[in-house]
Amino acid sequence: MDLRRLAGTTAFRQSLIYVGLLLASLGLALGGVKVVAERSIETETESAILAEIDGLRSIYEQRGIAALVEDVERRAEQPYRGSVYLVLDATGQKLVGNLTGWAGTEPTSDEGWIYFVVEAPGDVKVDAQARAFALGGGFLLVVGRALAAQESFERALNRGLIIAFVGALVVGIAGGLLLARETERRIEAMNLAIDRVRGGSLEVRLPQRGAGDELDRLAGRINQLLAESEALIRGMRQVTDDVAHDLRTPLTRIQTRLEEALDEASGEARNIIEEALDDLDRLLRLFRTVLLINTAESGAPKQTFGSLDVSAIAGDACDLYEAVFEDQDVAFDNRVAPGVSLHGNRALLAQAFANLLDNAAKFTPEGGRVTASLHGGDPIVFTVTDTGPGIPADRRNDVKRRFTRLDSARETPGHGLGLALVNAVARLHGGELQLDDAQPGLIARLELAMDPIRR
Amino acid sequence: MADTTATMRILIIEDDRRTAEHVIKGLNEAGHVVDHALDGVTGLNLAGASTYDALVVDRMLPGKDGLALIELLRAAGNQTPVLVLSALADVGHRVEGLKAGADDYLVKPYAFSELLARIEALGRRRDPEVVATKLQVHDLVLDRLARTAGRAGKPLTLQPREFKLLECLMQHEGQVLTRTMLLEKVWDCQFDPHTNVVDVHIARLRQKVDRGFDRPLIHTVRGSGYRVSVDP
Repeated sequence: MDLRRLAGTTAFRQSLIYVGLLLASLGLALGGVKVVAERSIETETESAILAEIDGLRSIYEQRGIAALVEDVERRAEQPYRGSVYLVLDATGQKLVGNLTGWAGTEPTSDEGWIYFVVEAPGDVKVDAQARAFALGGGFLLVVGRALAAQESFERALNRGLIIAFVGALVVGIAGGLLLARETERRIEAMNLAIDRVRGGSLEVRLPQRGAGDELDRLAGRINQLLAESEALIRGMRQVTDDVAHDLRTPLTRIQTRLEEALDEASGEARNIIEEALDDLDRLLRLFRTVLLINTAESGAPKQTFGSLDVSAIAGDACDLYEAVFEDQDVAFDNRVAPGVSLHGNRALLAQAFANLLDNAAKFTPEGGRVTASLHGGDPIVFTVTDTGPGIPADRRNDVKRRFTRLDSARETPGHGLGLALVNAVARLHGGELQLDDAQPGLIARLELAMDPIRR
Repeated sequence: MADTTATMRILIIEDDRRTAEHVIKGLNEAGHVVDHALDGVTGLNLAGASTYDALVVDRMLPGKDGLALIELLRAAGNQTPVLVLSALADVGHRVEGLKAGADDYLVKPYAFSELLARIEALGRRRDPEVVATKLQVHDLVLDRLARTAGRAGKPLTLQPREFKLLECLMQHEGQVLTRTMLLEKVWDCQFDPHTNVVDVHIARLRQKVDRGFDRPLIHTVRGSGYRVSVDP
């Protein structure tokens, strides 16, 4: 499935928003942990320093400076654990301690803490925190801790946070795509079903998973709608079918009787019967066309679609009408490309091409020009352009419906079924009929899918 | 017309008595001998028992479906030309009928003249004249191999489709060919072209074939179609 299209889906965008919110709350939670943990480590360090100062001060107060120096020396000689000590006399001379390069005693925080940099073993400079305490007799005691342990803890914490963030982001996006794909699949299946309904397979329904989720409920509603419109359309077709079929039998009998009467009749009666037979013929043709439109709209001919040389079919239709145009003093330009083939119904396509040419023949005035062309590709396009009066823009959709005739066409023979049939044939073949202004005249474009079944 | 068309023996298998009577009456008047079967089984027996020039079979019959009947006939080696009559106008049905072995397919309702023309055209199918390489009507000659035509020794300049139209008419000399039949045979069209396109093509052909000659050979048969013959 196309990733870019997937990334544009609602499901994916919602997953992204969800991942964003998840990351924000994860950030808040981990940030809180970080602040609290750091704060507690800091407090622990500070109280350790204060406790050590307390101990050393009582050694000094009880046993004097010599004992303090001895004790501090012992502590400083222990393997490096990050503790720093310094004892200065009143003149600022170092008596004992493992702190080198002591710069000053000014506290750098309000609570009397001094922050500075010490050299840890291995020539590493480490941040340190210390407290200076003035003992009686001008001695100064400095006790501190290198903050290396705390810093490495912070680094670990940060690393952990980044891993957690990236992990959540990756899982979130992947999950989002997965969810989007699942939804996209279901929506796509529904779209396919809708396209098939539009193509004439009225019985097709949207797939449901049976999970009763919101998509299923939506599909259920749409299916109800489809069932209702199917019933309406089938009902309408049934009515026209029934009318056409039921009337055909009595009309056939009338035709038979008129033919019999014609044999017996003479004079004026003969003319009247012949005219009645002509009218009857027109009526029967009209029924045939209505039934043909119904057949095309039902989608049933798709079952018998075969591969057709559409160039030959269009060529035959053009050949048939070329003489008509010549007879009417209309220039005819035949631009049917050879070798175009498609999957379809031969009789319906031939009828559609003929209807478009027939319209051009009916409406193009003497001295006009008609061009018919067929181009391959997908869609395949058959175009008839004339120099007749054309169809006003606001009526171009109306004329594709049955029994629509423009006022200007009242004088020409026809029932307003020609373009309705072309439209039905176009839709049966996965295409459409487009009507445009040729300034002056009409451009009728009949688009046909190369393989309407696959579509 | 009766003098140019030989008498045919025709079997009509049709369950609607009234329709059958009308057809039989018309065919008798045209000089043909007609047998009638009301159902498929009787029809099959009659068709097997005697030799006919053409069968007219209704597609929907009691006892046996019309198409199944044709398939049985063909399977038994019976090659009698068959015309199917059907109330089914659907686009696929004609193809089905021809596939089953029918030679022609006519949708109800039809004008009797159309049925008669088609039956008579079917009878001609078995005529040896069908495969003749040269067709001649009076002083009009058409050479199917050289694809040339001439009248009174003077060559005619015909477009390929005009040649096919004339060939079709001459092949059925003395018989009426309806507009629908010409559309099917010459343009391979099974559709209704609304405008009388065939008339226009015939008019053009007449210009070339009959103009300047005392005796016209292409005749219009009122209410029916066209016929090529020496006598009007």
